[in-house]
Amino acid sequence: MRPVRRIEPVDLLRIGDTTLLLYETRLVRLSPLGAAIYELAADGIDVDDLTRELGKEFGPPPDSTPGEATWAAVGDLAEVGVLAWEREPPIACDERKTFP
Amino acid sequence: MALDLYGLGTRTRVTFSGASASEVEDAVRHAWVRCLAPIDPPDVETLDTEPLVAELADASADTSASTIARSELPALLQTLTQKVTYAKIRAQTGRLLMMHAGGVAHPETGSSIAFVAPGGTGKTTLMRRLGNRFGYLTDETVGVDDVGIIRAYPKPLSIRTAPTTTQKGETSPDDLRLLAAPSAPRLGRIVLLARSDDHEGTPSVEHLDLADAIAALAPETSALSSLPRPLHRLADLLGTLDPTVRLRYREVDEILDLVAGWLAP
Repeated sequence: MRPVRRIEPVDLLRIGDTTLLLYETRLVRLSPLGAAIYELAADGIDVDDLTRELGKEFGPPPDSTPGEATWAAVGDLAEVGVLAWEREPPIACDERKTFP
Repeated sequence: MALDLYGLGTRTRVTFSGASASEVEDAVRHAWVRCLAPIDPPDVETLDTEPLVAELADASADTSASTIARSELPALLQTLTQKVTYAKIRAQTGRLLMMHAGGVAHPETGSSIAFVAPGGTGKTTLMRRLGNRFGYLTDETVGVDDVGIIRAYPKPLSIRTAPTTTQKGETSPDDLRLLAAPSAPRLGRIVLLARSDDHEGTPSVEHLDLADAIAALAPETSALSSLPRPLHRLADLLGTLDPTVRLRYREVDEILDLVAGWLAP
């Protein structure tokens, strides 16, 4: 299962730690964490695999479990159109922080 | 009966029809006086936009996207300005980097500033005030080619006829005694205008780094995503300019000398 995949932008520009993605009618600014998720989701990725990869790169998140942090970030990126669910997420978005 | 209206590197043919065609043509000729002849140097390509038809008639005669019919002359002129601008932007989509901005140029050096702001937030007022000291480029859309030259669009200034109305009068830059644009004006700086009645104290100038500048400018562009590698084009342009700034102020008089300093040779 590879439930999230990135949506290709019209253009991408990296400036230091910031990544800018231009879509048809909007610009999205990514943090290093967002940029890592964008790269890892190039061919679609399961959120559990994404959590493991982000843990290797960024270590444990300070205020939540790795799973909670990944689901929150994926939800945010899907909301601004950087990621798309390849199938319906297994739980409602407003419950995602309880997902392991 | 027709006029060619130049600007933004384009030519828009407007044909006048109906019983009042001559009256409308005279009014357009007066308001668009700076756009009646080619503006760019002869070696610069001028694109033809789709043609338009203007008629003083009931709006029900407004039967196609290219036909403008209004029963009152001020409304007809206002809508014509909007349609001409849209036509020019469409023609330059994928070619010029276009910003919602007013622009003025130093009359001798050609160095120019684009003042970026959404509609109704002070561009035209500032252009009226600066245009007595610097060449008037436009109050609406600054279009920049791939080497940083602005394709001037010295259209009539759309000036609100009363504070409580949405109707605007199309006013000739000659009537406002604005200076003419120099040939081949070169963009030297972009200023993001942030005028507010709530601003307190003297104007403030905030320097934006490249990422902040692009993030602030992108929403104020037209058809940015149609350019080849648009973010790179914008970044390359910004890299050749003086630092992009956000200028917060309340009264336009407070920023005139500051801006004049930026344009000084």
